[in-house]
Amino acid sequence: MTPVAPELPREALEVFFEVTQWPVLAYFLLVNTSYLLLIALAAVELTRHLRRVPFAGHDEACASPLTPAVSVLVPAHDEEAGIVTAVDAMLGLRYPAHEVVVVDDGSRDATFARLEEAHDLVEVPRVVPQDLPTRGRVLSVHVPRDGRTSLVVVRKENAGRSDALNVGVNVARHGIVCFVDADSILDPDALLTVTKPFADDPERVVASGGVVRAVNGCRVVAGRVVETRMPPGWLARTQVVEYLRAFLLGRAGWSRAGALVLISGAFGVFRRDVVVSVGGLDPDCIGEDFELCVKVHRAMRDAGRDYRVVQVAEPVSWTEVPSTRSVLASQRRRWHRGLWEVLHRHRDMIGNPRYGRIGLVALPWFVVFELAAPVLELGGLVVVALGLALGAVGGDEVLRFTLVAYGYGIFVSVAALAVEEFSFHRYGRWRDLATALVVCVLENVGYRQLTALWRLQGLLAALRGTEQVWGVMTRTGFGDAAAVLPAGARRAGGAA
Amino acid sequence: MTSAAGVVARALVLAALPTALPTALPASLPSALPWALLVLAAVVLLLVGGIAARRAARRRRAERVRRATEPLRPLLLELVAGEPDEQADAASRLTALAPPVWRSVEPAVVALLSKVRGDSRAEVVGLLEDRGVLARARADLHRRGAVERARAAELVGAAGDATSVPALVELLTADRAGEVRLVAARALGRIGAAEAAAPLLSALREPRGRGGVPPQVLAHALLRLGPAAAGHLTAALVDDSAAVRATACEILGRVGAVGSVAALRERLRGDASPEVRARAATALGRLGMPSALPDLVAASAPPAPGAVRTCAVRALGELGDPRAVPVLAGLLADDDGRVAALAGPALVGLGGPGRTALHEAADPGAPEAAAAPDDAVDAVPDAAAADAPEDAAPGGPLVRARAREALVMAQLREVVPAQRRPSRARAVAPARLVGDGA
Amino acid sequence: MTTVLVADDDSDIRELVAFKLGQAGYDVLAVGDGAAALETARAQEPDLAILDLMMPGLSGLDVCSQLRRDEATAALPVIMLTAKAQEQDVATGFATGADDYVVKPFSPRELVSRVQAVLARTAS
Repeated sequence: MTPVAPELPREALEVFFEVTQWPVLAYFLLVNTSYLLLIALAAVELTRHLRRVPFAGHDEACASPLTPAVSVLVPAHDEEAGIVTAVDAMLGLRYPAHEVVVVDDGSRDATFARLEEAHDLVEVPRVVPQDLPTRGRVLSVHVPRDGRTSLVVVRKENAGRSDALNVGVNVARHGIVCFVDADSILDPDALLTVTKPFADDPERVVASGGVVRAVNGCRVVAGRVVETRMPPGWLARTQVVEYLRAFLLGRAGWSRAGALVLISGAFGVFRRDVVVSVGGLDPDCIGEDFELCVKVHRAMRDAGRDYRVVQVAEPVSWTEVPSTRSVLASQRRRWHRGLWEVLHRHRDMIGNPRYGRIGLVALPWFVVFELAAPVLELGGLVVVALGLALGAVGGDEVLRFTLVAYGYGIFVSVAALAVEEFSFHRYGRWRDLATALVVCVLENVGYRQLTALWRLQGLLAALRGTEQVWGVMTRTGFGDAAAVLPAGARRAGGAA
Repeated sequence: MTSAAGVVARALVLAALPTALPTALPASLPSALPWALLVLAAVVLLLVGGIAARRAARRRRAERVRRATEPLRPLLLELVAGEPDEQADAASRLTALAPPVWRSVEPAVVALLSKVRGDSRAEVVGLLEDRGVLARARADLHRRGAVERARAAELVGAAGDATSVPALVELLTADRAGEVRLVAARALGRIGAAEAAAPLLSALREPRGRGGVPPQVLAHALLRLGPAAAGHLTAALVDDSAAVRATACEILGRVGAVGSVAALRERLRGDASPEVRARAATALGRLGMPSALPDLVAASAPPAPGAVRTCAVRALGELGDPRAVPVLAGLLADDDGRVAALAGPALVGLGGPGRTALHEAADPGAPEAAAAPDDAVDAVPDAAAADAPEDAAPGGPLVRARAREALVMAQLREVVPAQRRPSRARAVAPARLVGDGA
Repeated sequence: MTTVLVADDDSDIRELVAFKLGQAGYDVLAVGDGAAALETARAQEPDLAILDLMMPGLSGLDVCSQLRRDEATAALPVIMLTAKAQEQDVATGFATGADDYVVKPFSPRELVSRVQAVLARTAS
């Protein structure tokens, strides 16, 4: 190898590389191994779950007058295109007793008009209890003219998704509340499946999450997914595999380990009294779903309660993932910014034995392997590229880096596909399987680096934002910013 | 194939070791790298092969089952829905099927158990008996694997197999796996054998949470036993365990056991557990006996705990006795928002006098004015601003709003059915309900 | 010939009802969701509809109330078929304009007699 660059930088880089390569390699080794462990845990969990499906007793729960009633809360902002189908589908969910509460968060389009026409709504006087503090004023409450259909539509001034959900919690009449995004598509048994933990262990379960998958490319009839397919476009396809790995398997793994700290806002179920006792969703926090879940853990542990937060393995909720680069970029920036905010706000829990597995395992994992991941991912890449250009590193080092960071990553993704194939096998076509396998390889070229870049941007934005906040001590709230983001980018939640 | 995911899980962990180790070796062993790459590639390919094999096998099996069951579909329909001679013919042809064909069609037959009732279901049960499926399930109730026992219990429950009751009671009381006990409880409810009442009630005494059968499942099973269990339930009202007493109250109210009113009133008046008192109140409301009025009125006011009061208020509405009007009208201004919110709908339940009281509360100046959906709306106070105590005082905006809300909701419920049938007058009363909800 | 519309998302139930009613001499139109039920009811003008309460898209209750709102189908007799067995649901069913209510699991034979009874009652 002939050194083309000046000697000094090359030597400095050699030393730097010598010092950093092993920690960096160890880091990637640990990231992927932790994912592999989560997937293994998830596989155990799914096996358990699938063997029990024949006697899950859904029919029985559906026919029982003793099944606890649920309020389904749907925040809606400018959702005129899909709101009627969504509400019809939610009213049609298989469940013995549920009401649907739509909170129209100051939509400027025909969201309300569509609902009014479809359900023959009339305005009624309704005293909404103030169990949770809210910001946007409630303008009016409407119910279908028949006075029986379990639908309530609340119109309020725009104040963002969190505030809309808090209003929904206030309006909710039942002891269990289910947060669902208006653009989510739920399987008919979704409510029965996700509330089953509450029925099976009523004393302890305080929250449960449903698995979210990408609906892009699927055939949807009457608000129900009838055939699962891979979407066109590699960006969406990659996210399908990503969701599979992170949402289905990652969270099922955490749940199995008893340390689930993230319930997706696109489909999560909570005990209403617990949500009220922790003060509801924080409208000032970008990662409000993550924050709520962490807050619940904190409150339960502080109170010394024996409690459970679980993820239900069955995939039941479908959501549209961004299919353009710019929407995906803003989504990922937002997620990462939210991740930082939540972890920063609850930093005293991190590594704190008082919070058990949450404090000692789950939150530190998020700090090290989620929050810091983009920094190390991009940093490692830059150093290797520089070293190669300057001749400071040889082929072996590059190979080693590639193997640990990417090769092992491919293996983890394929393992996730294998677990899916052995459990739910929703993607029935051979073509979809082939596409998914190609994605496992291709996502390492371009997609990973791009998302790392966006996440890094989100992290930087968060750091800048916090400094400002510390400086002036006033927060204006991100409500409006949240409301004007495109649908796919609005949902908060980390990648795992 | 069901434990396949577990096998994959173990394989993953094992496979991770050889792929991870070589990369962690010191740089002085560069020759290990190609080797590691090779192993990694091999493991990935192995996984891909596994996925493909699994998928191919599953598709082949699905196709086989489809080919086997499709021609038998008409036979299944005849079995459950045909004329008696067709049923007999279908049963004998299905009984005569070769074992591999039967195995393909068996799940479809079992699925029918939960879809039909009466003689149609009896035909399915008979077929399962003739094919030895039920005998196998009865034997499986004692298998080693918890999942096998639970599946067997589910099947004998779905088939309403009375001969399995002793075995199921045994599972309910003594099985070491919580889920097996749960399925056994459900199965006993579906079979509906009265002798299951005592074990179901005592299962409530176990500590909840880990391993215990959820009270809701036990309660539903007891409910399905119906009035046959009423004697056991009334006796259980004085059980030592609060959970047992609470569930007994709940079920007695739902099965319409009017003979238990005195005992339920006793619970409402003096039980140590608020949960039991709340359930007793609800049950008394359901049973609708006027003798419960004084106790419910007493329970609707402090010092009774909030949960008891809300249930008592709701029960007063269901009881429908106009003597409760002044009490409920007063509760519209109650400090406890939940109690106050329920007082309005409860007043609606009391009929004319209740409505009059609501009209008065809604518009103290003009008691006769009817609240209509459109003119009532603008008077709703901004809920966020309604925290001031004077708002919740009698005649305050919050009380007026609560009364209006109740009136408007009641009006909606009544007006609509009349409007809905423009071209057909209903002279005939709706038919009796089919079945008893079992 | 008398035509009966059957709407249920469970294909087993659909097949079963269609088979039994076919045997009893009715023409059967079977559909799998609420929207299709509404469309078929308007286009084919059946003499009776059997609606599952919980269907994707439009529920049986929605279909029923929309049928009642439309002059052309307002008089169509409706039987609700459902696993929901609570008093409240039954009351809602009748308030929405259902003529009869059959709880799942159901007896095919009994369903036929109910169809006959409802048809006889509404014919007069």
